[in-house]
Parts: sequence; structure tokens; C-alpha cells
Amino acid sequence: MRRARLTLLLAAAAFISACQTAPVDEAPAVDTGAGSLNLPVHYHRLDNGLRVVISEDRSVPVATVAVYYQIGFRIEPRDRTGFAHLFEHMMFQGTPNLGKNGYATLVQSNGGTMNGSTRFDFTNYFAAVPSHKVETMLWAEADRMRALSITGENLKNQQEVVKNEVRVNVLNRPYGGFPWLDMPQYANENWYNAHNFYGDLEDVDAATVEEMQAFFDTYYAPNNAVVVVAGDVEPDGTLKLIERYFGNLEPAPQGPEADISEPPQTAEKRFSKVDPLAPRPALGLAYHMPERGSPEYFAMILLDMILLQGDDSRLTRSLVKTHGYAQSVFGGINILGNAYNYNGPMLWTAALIHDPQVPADRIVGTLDEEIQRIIDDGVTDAELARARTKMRSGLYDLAGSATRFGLVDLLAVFALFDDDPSRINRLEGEFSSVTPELVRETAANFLVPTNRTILTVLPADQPTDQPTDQGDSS
Amino acid sequence: MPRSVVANAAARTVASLLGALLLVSSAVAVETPPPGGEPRPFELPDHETLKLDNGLDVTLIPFGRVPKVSVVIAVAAGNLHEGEQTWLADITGDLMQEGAGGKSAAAVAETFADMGGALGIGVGMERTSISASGLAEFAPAMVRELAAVVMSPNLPDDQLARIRADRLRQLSVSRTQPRTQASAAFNALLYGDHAYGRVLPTDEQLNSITMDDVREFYGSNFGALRTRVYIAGLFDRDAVVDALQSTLGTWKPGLPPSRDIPAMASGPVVKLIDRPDAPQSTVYLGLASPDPSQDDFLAFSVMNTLLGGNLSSRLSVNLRENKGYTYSARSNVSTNYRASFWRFNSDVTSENTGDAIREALFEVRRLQDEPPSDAELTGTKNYLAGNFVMGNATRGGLIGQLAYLDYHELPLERLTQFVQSVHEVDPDTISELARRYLRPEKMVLVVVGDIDLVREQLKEISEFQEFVAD
Repeated sequence: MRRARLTLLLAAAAFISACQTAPVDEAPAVDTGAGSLNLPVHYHRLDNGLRVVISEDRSVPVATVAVYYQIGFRIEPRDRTGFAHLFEHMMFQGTPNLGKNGYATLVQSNGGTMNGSTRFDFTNYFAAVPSHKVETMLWAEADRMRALSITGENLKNQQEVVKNEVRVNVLNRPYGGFPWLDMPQYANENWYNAHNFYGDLEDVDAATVEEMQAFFDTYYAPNNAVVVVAGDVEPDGTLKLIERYFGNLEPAPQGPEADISEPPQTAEKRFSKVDPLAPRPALGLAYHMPERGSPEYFAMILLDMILLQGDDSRLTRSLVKTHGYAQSVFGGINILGNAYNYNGPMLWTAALIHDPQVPADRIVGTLDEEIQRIIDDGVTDAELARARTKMRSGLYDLAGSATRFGLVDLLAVFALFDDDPSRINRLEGEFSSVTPELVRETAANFLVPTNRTILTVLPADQPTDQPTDQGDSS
Repeated sequence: MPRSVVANAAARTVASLLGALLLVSSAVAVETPPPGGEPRPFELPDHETLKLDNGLDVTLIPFGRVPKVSVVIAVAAGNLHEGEQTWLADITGDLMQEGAGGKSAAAVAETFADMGGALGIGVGMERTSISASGLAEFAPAMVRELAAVVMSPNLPDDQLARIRADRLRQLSVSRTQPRTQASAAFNALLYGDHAYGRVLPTDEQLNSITMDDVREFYGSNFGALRTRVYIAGLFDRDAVVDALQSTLGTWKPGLPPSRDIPAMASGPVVKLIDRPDAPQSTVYLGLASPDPSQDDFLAFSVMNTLLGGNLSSRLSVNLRENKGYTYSARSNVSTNYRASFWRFNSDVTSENTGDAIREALFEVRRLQDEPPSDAELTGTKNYLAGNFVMGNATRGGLIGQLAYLDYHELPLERLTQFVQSVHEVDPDTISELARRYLRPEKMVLVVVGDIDLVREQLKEISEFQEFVAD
């Protein structure tokens, strides 16, 4: 569906300009009277399909330039786990114009800070720079969208770097990969959602220069990307610069859309894994989310806040403060990102590290009691209001950030997934139709054992009185 | 492999081949980045300082475009003041989360959430910070609620057992993390028995802490003379000052702050911590360095940034981008009060542990022997200047910068003149500082890894070979 819509829009090929607001210099980022976000959002599409979002804020001489490509690890090649992420590394390996390390040096020696990341449904590259260097950054992003130095030497080097990244973040630490990397592999059935997206080390080693080049040629094309510029910039001049540097890039046909759907879950799944580095057991629970954008999805975002986010949340009160099972219970929707920046099947996850004297089933029982309380009694208006207040406060911080990485993230994913970056200003309103009854129904329909996966992590020397393994790991 | 691209891919391949050929034959056709325009001026936002009648200091920073406010109450009470009872300050901080002024912990948590924020209590070596960040309209209320937490915490007896169990669990996890293992060993070698050297307690130490200890620690370390409040954001100044005066302004003065400055040990010394079958070695290598009160600290920081401060710095380019030994190779300057250290740290492939340490030392010597080029140094200066602007463009960043000055007793010029001072550093000074301070023969080396594999590699490094026992 995503691809179909894109093709349609490309056929239209018109230069679409959709300025949602007429920004005024030094205007507050928030309409304090209405108490809601009111950011300037200029949205355009170039002839080659490149989406462009510009949001100005002249308060501090800093601007952020981000490019998001609509290729995530979810749909990377089947026999090449970790490929999308390995490729992300290659984007920093230089171009015919900028040598190896050229990009990082360019950003940093111009006073900026930058990074990239690979997520379920996109790979992103972002830099915050002194605002007079925006043109330099736009040139550099267009330069590496045009051509990359994908050499055997660079690939070999980054294969070693990525393997060391996996070692430091997963293999050489207790609870490495728990639950963020493990849980999707146990909870999902469709390979696209259920593979090791950091990459099996053998797969990382197996990637070839030819495969890298083909991946680049397909996915790193203007019609599969959005450029976002936010901060101290003038919108019309910035759009002209983007046209100058990106306008002559050729679009690339995209392959058939992958079927990333998850089959409905009908029975609870339980797994355990032994972690020889872990000194104490850990427990994770993951529930399949309602479909993104549905009424239940918005209710689930508020449920996450009511149940899991903050010291006032019900699970923190119960599991941490009342029962003392753990120092904290952590998790959320899309724990590698947030409730908005994905576009496919997703999990709501809660996890904790506990003592061996407390059986995992007792903790699961307490959690079930808390959820049952919501199903039986619902949530109060005060709790719902509190959840909305937390969300509003968090949204303001996106606009007030120095690097604006959170802000450009929402603008980018709303452009890529919804073709509507100004959705950021309506986000609060999208929750207004969530009633206590819808919250209760959502808990009753989604936070049930048949929709969940339980994963226990066992220290090597611990006797197993834990739930038994009922299946293989993927 | 999805490979549906034909014409365009070919065109691109031709383009990149052409690019490669041109690179070989001549550099003329290579496109260079546009330099960009003229920098726009940046001025540090103004702030106001007050001293309340009881001696409590206040810093007000009106700032920003979004209706939010951050309040931080910084009390000079931390691990430095806990004596032999390591983590007593942390346990006290935990108990301060358990309700205040007669309100339950749950009621306090809900109150902060209703203001769009959360109560945060952070315990460091020198300070405990009690803070919240929320919607601006609640600024005076937030001050009052935070004041209650800091002035009249409930410190309930019945929560100590749970909190201790949580800390014991956390400790057991910390002991299995290679970076925590390395950091604890490194600090112990450098600071000895001083609080800075005691990163982790023993189980026995945690088990021995009583409510009397907590009340004694709180009672003797918390008070107005040890406290400074920072408020940044959009807020009603007079209402906030009223709230401060009617709450924190009535607090007992308490004892003035005290700080015990440690003597720092120097190497060469090697500590190997075995982690059988570890796929990587965690390497910490460093020594005492100039602290922020010294004249050459700023230039030393510039030197460190060029050497190992970011992805395009020398250590990163060598160990990561050229050798592939690691995901991250960095050096940094840690600024404990009048007791700073410089440290290289990296998690490297076990087989390349010796190689990685050798390359790190090679980069140190290269910097000592040859001043950096103007271009490289200018890039480093720009990086620091640009990141300085970003660091002062948020409420939290501004509070952090001003608190840093207060903490190290530095003049405001350190901030207002920062960019200019950075740009005055010359290449010879960089080399000179590397020679003066980064002396390999004085360094402390900690390696956490598979020692059977690593030991022989370390014996081949001349600086340390005689200190690697079998």
C-alpha cells in the first residue's frame, strides 16, 4: 500500500506545496492560549519524488538537517540479517567527492554534531549545525545520496566495526539485547518482524560490495526519502537550496512491497533464554499493538502512560513500590523509538530484573491483576488527564530542544508514513476522542494473555522453576 | 535481494565509476562542499542570582520559546560526604523519593505528573540534585513541591528493606558490566581510599546501612548553606521568588559545604580483570590531568577533543575507521573537584587488545612530536564552539553550564569568553600540553577481558611489560 500510494503521487508529479502556517519571526512555538503545539510546517515534493519539510525557528543560530530513507531493518534481505544497519555505516565511508571519514569531519569541523540510526521502517541521518552551515550539510547529504564509495576495503572495515558494536552492546554485557533485540524475535512470526536485526555475525561478514551497491541503488533514492530542515533557516531560500542540490537526482523504481503483516496470535507464548552473564533473572512481556492510527492505537498510547511511564504509573506503583519485585519496570511502545516512528506490526513491552526468590509467575500474576483492574473498573478522568498532560509536556520539549532530533524525527516519519508532517500540530487533538471506555475496551481486547509473549532470562547457575520453553526462538 | 532497478542503477554506477577515475587522474573535477554563509551571533542568555536570608543561593534564567520550566535544587551532599558507608547518599536519595511533608510517595508522584513532569533525584560524588521539569504555568507550585521533598522528606522506615534489596540487585548487575568493572578499578587505582575511588560498595556495606544512618546523613548534610536552586524557562519571576522565600527561604542554614581533595596516584600500574571467554577487552588508560581551575585546562580540553573527543578525532579514525578494532575509541576529561583525570577508553576485539593500546599510545606520541595542522585544529575549535552554542540552547544545558561554574568556583567569563579562548589556542600549545600531561610512563592501565588471551599481548607493550605479572 505504501508503494502504491507513492507511485500514484509520483505520477501526479506536480510540485506540491502545502504551507500550513504563515510563520512570524520569533513567534512562540506554542500557542499558549490554546495550550497546543503550533509549529510552522512547510511541506513540498520535488519532481523526482523527494519530500521536503522545513520548520523554522530563528531563536538560536542552530539548524538541523536530516534525511530519512524509507528502508528499515524490517525488510532487509532475508539471508543478510543486520544488512540495513551495516549499510547505514557505509553511508559514513565517503563519496567520490568526500573521502573516507569526510562526512563526519565535514560536520564536526563545521561545529556540528551528527549520527545515523537504523530502525524498523527507516534509516536516518541527522546533523545539527551552526545555521550558516546548512547549505554545506545539504550539499553533503545530496552528495552521498548521489554516489557512495562502496569499496571492499571500506566494507571490510565496517564489518569489523559493526561486529564490535554487536559485541559491546549485546554479547559482552549482561541482559545484552534484552528485551529490545530479543522480544521481537520471540513475539513475532513473520520473518520480517522476527529476525535478528542487529545481525548474526556470519551474516554481517557475508555481505558483499555488489549487494551493498544494489541496496543503495534501490532504496537510497530521492523518491524513497524525505529531507527535513528545522531551526534557524529561511524557508523559501532553504527550499531553493534543496532543489539545487537534490533536484537533479534520479528516482529509482521500488520493488514490490513486502508483506510484513503478523498473523493474529491466538495463544500465549512463553520462552526462556539462559544468559550466562546475568546475575539475576529477568522477565519481559510483550503484547501486539493495535494497528497504527486506529482509535485503539491512541488509547494504547495513553494506556502505556497510565501503566508504565513515570513513578505515578500503575505498574511502577504495584510491581516496584508495593511488591518490591524490581528497582524499576521499563519498556513502552516500540522501545527502539517511540509510539509514532514505525509503520507496521509493533509490540508494547514491559520488562524488569528481579530476584531468584520471586518466581516469574508471581510477577506475571500481579501484572495481570493490575490489568484486570483496568478492565473491570476502567481508568479515572484524572488519570486520563494526567496522561495527556505528560504527552503535551513531552511534545513541547521536541520544539525546545537544541538539536531538534526528536522534532525532525516526527516531521520525517509523518511525511514518510502519512504524507502529512503537519500532523505534528494535530497530535494532541488526535487523543481527544479517547474516552475512559475506549481505554477499558482496548485493555480488554489487547492486554490479554492470548495476545502476549513472556520471555524469562535465566542466569546460568539458576535452577529452572521458570516457565518452560514451548517453541523455538523464531 | 530486491533488484528491480535497471536503468537508473546503471547510470549511477557509471557516475560513480567516473568519479573514481577522476579521483585517480586528477583532483580538479572533484566537487567541494560549499562553505556556507556568515555565522550569526550568539549571546548567552542573561541570568539573575539571589541569596535568600538564610544563605541559600538562587539562579534564575528566563529562557526559551516553549512554555516549560526546569527547577533543580542542588545540595552539596553526595558520596563525598558518606564516609565509609559507600552508597549511603544514594540510599538517602532513594528514600527522599518516598513521600514528603506528610504526603505519600504516590501522591507526590501524581502531583508532579499533573504538572507535566516527574520528580528526579540524582546522587553524585559531590551533590544531590532534586529536580523536575514541567509546564511553565506550574513553576511556583513546582518550587513548593520540590522544596517539601528537600526540606521535609518522610524518610519512612518501612521502605528501607525494599530499597536495599533493589540496590543489592543493581550492585550484582553492575559487577558483571565490563565498563563498570573497569571504571571501579581505574578510580580505585587513581584515588585510592578517597570517596572518588570507591565506586561500588560491598554487599556488607549496603546491608549495614540503617535508618539512623540515613537520618544522620540527611540531617548533617542538607541545609540552606549547601544549596543552590536553578530555575530556567518561561516563568513568572515574582511568583517564583515568593515561592522560594516562603519555602526554602525558611530552611535551617545547616553546615557550610565541605570538600576533601584527594591526592592522586600515578602509574605505571596495570590491573587485569579476568572475564573468561569475553569477545572484547575493555581498556581504560589514563592519568591525572589539569582541572578546570587551572589556566591550561581549556587548551587541554581542545587537545583532548582533537585526540579523542569525537568520531573524526585521531583515536577514533585510527582504531575504528582504519583498524576496525572497536566500535568506539574515545578519550575524555573527567572533572572531579580539583582532581581531574584524562582517560582513553575503548572496547576492543580480544585478539587486538595489545594492538589497540599500542595504537592509542602511538597517537599520543604523534601529537607530542608534531603540532597538528592549522586546518585540523581549526576544525576541532569549530566543533567545540558549535557544540558550545547547542549546549547553551536548552534549559537543561544552561543550568548545567552555570552549575559547572559554581561547582568549580569559576568566573562567568569562562562561558562568555569560551569561544574566543578556544580560538586562541595554537598548534604548538597542543603538542606542548600532550608532552606535559599525557606521559605514558605515568599512566594507569585497566583491562577487563579474557586474561589468558590478553596477557601475552600486553607483555609486548614496552611501557607496561614489566608490570604484567604471570
